Amino acid sequence: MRTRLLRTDSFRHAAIYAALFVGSMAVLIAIVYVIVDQSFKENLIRETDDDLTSIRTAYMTARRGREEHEAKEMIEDRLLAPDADDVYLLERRRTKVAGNLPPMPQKTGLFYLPFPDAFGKSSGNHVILGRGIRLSKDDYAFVGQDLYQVDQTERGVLFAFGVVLLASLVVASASGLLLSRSVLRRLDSITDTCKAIMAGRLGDRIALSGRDNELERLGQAINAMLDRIQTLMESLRQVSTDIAHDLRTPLTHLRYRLENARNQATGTADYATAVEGAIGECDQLLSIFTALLRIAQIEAGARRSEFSEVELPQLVRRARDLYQPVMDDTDHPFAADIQDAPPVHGDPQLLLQLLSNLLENAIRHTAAGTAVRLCCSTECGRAVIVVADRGDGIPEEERQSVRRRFYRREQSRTTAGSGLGLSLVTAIAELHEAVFTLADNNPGLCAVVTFPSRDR
Amino acid sequence: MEILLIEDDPKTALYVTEGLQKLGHIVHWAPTGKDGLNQARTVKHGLLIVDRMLPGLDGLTLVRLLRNESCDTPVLFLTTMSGLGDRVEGLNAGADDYLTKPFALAELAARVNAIVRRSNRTGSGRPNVLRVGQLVMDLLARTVVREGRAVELQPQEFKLLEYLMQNAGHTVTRTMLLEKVWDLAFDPQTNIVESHLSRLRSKVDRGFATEMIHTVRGSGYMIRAD
Repeated sequence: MRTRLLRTDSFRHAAIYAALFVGSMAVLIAIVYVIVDQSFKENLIRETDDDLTSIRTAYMTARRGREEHEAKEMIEDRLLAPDADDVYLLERRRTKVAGNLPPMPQKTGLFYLPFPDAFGKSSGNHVILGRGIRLSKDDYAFVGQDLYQVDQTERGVLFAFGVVLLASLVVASASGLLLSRSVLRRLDSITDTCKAIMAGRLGDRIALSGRDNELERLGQAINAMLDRIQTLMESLRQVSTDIAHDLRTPLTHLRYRLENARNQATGTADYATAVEGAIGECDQLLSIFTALLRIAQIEAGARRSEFSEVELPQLVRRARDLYQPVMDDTDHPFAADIQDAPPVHGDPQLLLQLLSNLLENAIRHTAAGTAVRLCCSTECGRAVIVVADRGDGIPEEERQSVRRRFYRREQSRTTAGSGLGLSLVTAIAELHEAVFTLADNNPGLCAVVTFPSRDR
Repeated sequence: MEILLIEDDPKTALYVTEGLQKLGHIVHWAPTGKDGLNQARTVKHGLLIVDRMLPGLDGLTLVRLLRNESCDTPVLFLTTMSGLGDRVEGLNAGADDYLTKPFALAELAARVNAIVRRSNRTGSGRPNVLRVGQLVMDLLARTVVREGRAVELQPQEFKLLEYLMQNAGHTVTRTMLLEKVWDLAFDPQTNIVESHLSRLRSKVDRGFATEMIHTVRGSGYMIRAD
């Protein structure tokens, strides 16, 4: 866990940010230090020069022969001032006249003067910054200041900066570690869930914290994906069970027929009849497979790439012309009310099959003499197709079930059909993002397909 | 007629070969796409029957290659796929017709005959008048006359009769009619073809001494003069 934590991306990012932060702090501190040092020393030099100028003025303006005396008095006055850090030296012919410095080489100009044990104030290494000038041929003056105080101050500032720097480094690393640990924990939980699912615990889901952040959203998306996959797998399992169950019946019939022929057929004519019947059963089975394959294909959305603009009124007219003779033959009064409807983005063959299935259901599941109506219209900008009949209808509690594959109502067990018609209609409607509803026609059934609005 | 069958499944190949031989055709069998392409390139056949799914070179590519080499031998596709887009894709590749496995031999025979008749016809151009015995259809004036008596038809009935007359004397199947007359790529569960034909019969045959439109049991319909 320890080394894993250090190898996480979030920790790496935190470390990089900390390093950048500390680096920029160090640069800032260096700049501040240089500026502070500069300004301290400039100040010091100005004071020193002021003193030196006063001494020089006193020297210059003194009565003849009193020059050295005036300067000495001035220096002694200054030395009396409390806690003065200033150092002075006045020499005449290389002999100390006044001041608190021992005699030294008469160097002129600004210079640093190392001074190991100044005034017995401290044991530290004292350095004096000052300026020496020649007042006359014989007289030399030096005024300077001890840098000890300045050094102490600067050292204090540096120390404070150092503490801040260290503290921020610690805080940055700690927050980096904390951050990576929380990220790592969330990612570990996602990884664990994935592993659990791979191991077969398909119901497992990623634990969500309820906070709104990117990992939470990732978790939600993964959970939604898993839900969808589970639904699909369950429907697949359901379908396989249904297929196995529902194909048994026609296969059993086929077997009976062939067995009967073997046991009871007495001549070629009997065999011919049996074979004819067997072929019919096979065709029925094959048509079920075709319908199943088609539903699967439509549900996979395979055809969407070949969609075109479909004029619904034209399509509905085609369906009407196609089914009018059948309606006449089966004695179903058939009326079509075809109004204008916005074009639909879709597959004309599939839409025609949808209409065909709905019309065939109306023919097959209602008694002769039952009126059937086919409508096409516009409602709130949406194209709507309605197939309504005046038959017995479907009770509300069964209207959802009839869309399931192979579902057949008790009343229609004996009529022809595979129980796949409405599944196909549902699949085609979903492919077109249309809403397919079964409603009460008071009396009868009213199948409504509402296509999406084109204004989106 | 010499027919080249390009089909990898031996059982299907045997079924098709025996069926077509019984109808008097000579069938050559190529079990792979490559083999089929070679045979189609070297020998001129009356018809190619090509399976869509072949090992190596698939049927679609094979037909595209042949069409690019300006080979105009009629092609009938066979497929196990009941894919919706496959029919259009196959026809676009240059096939003349399309049949989904499994199929009845009668269906295959009817389609083979229709393709051959159509390819023979294209040479002389499309006629403006179709004639079957005493039944005459004028395709330009869109009129139908039987034994001097005008027969009034709806547009769909006209189209249905036209297709039957184009194939006069030969069986056309229910699926062929659904595809060619109504442009349906699916098979409705109710027998709409039967209903439409009985309407057409009532207009073309009623009141005349002989029936021209016949039901061929187990395979389809046919119009003939006697």
